[in-house]
Amino acid sequence: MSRRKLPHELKLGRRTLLRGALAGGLVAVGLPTLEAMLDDHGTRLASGAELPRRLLTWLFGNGCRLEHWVPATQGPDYALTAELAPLANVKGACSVLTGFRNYVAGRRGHHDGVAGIFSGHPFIQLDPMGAPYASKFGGPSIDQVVADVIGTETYIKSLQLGVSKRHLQNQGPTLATMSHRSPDQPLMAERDPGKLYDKLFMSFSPPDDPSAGLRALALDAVLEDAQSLKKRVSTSDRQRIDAHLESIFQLQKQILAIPPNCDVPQKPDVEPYNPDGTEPLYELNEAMARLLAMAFSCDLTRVASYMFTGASGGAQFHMLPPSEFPEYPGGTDYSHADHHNVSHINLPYEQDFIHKSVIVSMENLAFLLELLASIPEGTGSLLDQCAVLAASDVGEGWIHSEIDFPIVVAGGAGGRLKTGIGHYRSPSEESVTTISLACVQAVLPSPDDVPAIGGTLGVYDGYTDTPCAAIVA
Amino acid sequence: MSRAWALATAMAVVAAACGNETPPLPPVTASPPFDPADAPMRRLLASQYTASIGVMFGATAAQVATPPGDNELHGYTTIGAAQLSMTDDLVATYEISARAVASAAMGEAARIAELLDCSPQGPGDRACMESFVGRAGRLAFRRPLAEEEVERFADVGMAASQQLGDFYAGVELAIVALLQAPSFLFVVETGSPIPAEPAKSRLDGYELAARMSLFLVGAGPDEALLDAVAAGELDTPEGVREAARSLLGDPRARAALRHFFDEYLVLRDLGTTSKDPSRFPSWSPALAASMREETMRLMADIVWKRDADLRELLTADYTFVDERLAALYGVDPPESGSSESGWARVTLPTAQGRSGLLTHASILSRQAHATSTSPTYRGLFVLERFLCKTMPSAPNDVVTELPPSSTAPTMRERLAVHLEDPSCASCHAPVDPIGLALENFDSIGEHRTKENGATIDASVDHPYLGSFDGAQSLALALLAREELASCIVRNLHRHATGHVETKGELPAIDALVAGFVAGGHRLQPLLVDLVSSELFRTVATVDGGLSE
Repeated sequence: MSRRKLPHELKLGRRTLLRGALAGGLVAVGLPTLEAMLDDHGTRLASGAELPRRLLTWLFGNGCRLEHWVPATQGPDYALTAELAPLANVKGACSVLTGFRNYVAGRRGHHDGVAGIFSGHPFIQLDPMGAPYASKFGGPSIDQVVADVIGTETYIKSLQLGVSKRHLQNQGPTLATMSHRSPDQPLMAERDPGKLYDKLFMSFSPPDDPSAGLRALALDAVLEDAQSLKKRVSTSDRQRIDAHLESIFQLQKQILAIPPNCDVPQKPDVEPYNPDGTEPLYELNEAMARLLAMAFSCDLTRVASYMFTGASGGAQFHMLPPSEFPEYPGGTDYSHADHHNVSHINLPYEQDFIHKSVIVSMENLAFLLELLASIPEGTGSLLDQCAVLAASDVGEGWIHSEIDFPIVVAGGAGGRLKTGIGHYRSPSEESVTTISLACVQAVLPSPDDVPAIGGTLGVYDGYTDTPCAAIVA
Repeated sequence: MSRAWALATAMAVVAAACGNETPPLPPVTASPPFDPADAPMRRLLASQYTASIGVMFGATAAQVATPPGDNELHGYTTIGAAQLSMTDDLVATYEISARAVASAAMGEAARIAELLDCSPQGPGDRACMESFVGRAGRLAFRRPLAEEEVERFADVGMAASQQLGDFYAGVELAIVALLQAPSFLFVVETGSPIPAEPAKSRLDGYELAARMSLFLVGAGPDEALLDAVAAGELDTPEGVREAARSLLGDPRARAALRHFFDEYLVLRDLGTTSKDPSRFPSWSPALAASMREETMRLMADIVWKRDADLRELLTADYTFVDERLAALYGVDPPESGSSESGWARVTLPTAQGRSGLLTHASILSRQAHATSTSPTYRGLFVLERFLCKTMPSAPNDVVTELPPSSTAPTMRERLAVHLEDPSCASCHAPVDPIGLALENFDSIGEHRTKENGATIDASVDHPYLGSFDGAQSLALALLAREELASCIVRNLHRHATGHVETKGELPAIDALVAGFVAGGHRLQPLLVDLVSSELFRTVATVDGGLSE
């Protein structure tokens, strides 16, 4: 269980910010922010622009054991509980938020949860008429709301990554991914570190590549084809073609961008599965965390979602040893079991297993946060420039509870979020979306850029225009 | 009205069946009134994308295709493909794939020459470029290109040809563009409004050919089929039936039907299903692959080899095993050298009471937990997939506490709480008993008579399926339900068209079901009937016909 290695320092190369000329506009291509480009105080770029702030949403599936999660006291000096203990090294940068409620809940456990906290929109239930159940998000997830504002300035608008491949894929987009541009645009996470590496560092056209212009030219014909198709199809299909057009524009921009001067790290080499068919969760998480830290640090993107394990997902916590329960001889080795299935069995052995799996999840979150905290940026660290919203899709896993989701907000978002508040427990069952909105607004140029998030559908109400006061600086 | 029509059709089919030794089904020339459904644009599935490239440029080019993956919705990837939109990642992935395919296609000199149908006279030979775009584009877009479309993609080719001084570099870039065009990546099925009923539109021959070819052989139409459309051969139901029969004779139809059954029976991720190694040491990805293959072999035996009654899928007392499965089922392994494939048809031991798919290790393993069976999963699977019934999920804040096996040794006893607590029973009562009838098969489908030392009782009373004891009588109870025939038709239709049937379509589906039943539940004739039906050829007019 404690095979975790300390993140070693990322070696960053020369830092600069290049701008690529392109017909119709400029694409800023991300690079490590150059010390030489910082002003004398190291708090802004020499150009006067603020240091970039980043949003990261992070999911672990199937909730926690509240008795082992919720700290006994509030404030900065609270004692870490067993499930929060892995966050000890970044405790000061983390706010543990309990007692919040998901007001879009009431229809279908895990669907309610991810849609609630990561979008605030009640999910759309798709009428199955005898077909298997499915749902999709009711509106964009918060990472995409943010990407629309600050993602256009970077090489990649937003990144979606994941660790466990054993996430639920047969109940529609809601559970398949945590990032949704619109109800019909789920953005699937990359779970292969090698492929993520290629996407981040190998997809640039070399500056003197003559094919770049031709590739962009081919896309012009594709754009025209899309435009002419639009005339023949339905209103809803026209919207789908618009989405296609938007992505083609984005690709053209990328093809014509000048590649960043980012020191390309080593390509990660992690097998997707262990020889016994289980997943090397720690190793995959470490590789993904390093790539994400590099992408943020090089300013390739400022927005990411990170699905460590899926909502209602079947990750195997094969590293957990069988527990000893002499009074309960029915115990079984759950190291190969589907996490979600086990979570619903309210027996001592199974719930002890779930408890330990939450600790594993927090160890993996801690690795990522410690890594971000170890990378200097400006006068502080990369983590100081991030708003990280880490949460699960239900509270107490085995009953799908709608209150008391495990939620940790980490990072100061360049001073826009309070750090050092420790544990805060809502006295009034505030909406989880107030936390989401606070994280959204913290990374935007101005909170007014997105005054509210979420929506309502009958009694399900995730709309909020009030960011969580406990964490807004 | 529709019932009378269905009856008439059924009688016609029976009459035909009696009069001939190998009865050809009568052409479906009439159709009960129905309201067609919307047909949103449908992104090619990854397999359809790759196979379509095979049709255009051959197997070598298809091999380097790297399309993005599919998203399943309501059990089918085609439904996901019809509802979801493009994203940055998908578009970027298609671009990479298009460039790789185009580069590989240029190595297929003979095929490129065929598609050119001219000898390029240097980098400025626009006529030859247009000839290429016209031919390759017709395969890509599954229809002839309009003049401005030929120009558009020839422009791309000519720009590269002249910039690089190489005609073939132009061809390559034209391919790159064609393969990223929405007209290739999306199946567009708008049809034209029927004059008397403008809210309904009929697919034209090209749209129908594409829908049919993608369904039956998993690839866009080839040149022969497009030529047949151009010659008007798909304008009559009999012409469509002829084309369908020809496609069913294509070896690719076998793979396409496997694809359907993979999704229908939820076997795609069987290989990554995991089992507790201490309880099931024989479980491995290789064993899972054998299980999946067994199911596909039974299906192929019934559908392709014998064109037999599809209900044998549920009742078969025989199956196909390799060495691994023979050990699991306790039958003799295939004699070495008896068959080059390592597979043999075997009769299952009577004492195990196995019954077709219901006791296939593939389905029993997939619908079970890592450590134990799941009568609930197995029951849901049977209800959903064979009878098209859906169940609500467990409500939030429900207590899912089951007693430990120390006090309740069998799953039946542990699950009793589901049926005793009224709040659980309302949903579990029709579900769990089906799975309990399969309790003689453990989490990987091995036969057993005891669990934790206690004898397993597989007899149950079901709220509407009657009483049954074990898999074989469960199969008979299912065979007695009329939903069984309609459910397979509905599932095929979902997969073929990319949408869950609407209420308005049900009369037409019922008519197909009647023909299927009357014809002896044979799948091949059903496929022909389905693709030649008005249901398959008619869609709701774009925006209800109100946009113009």
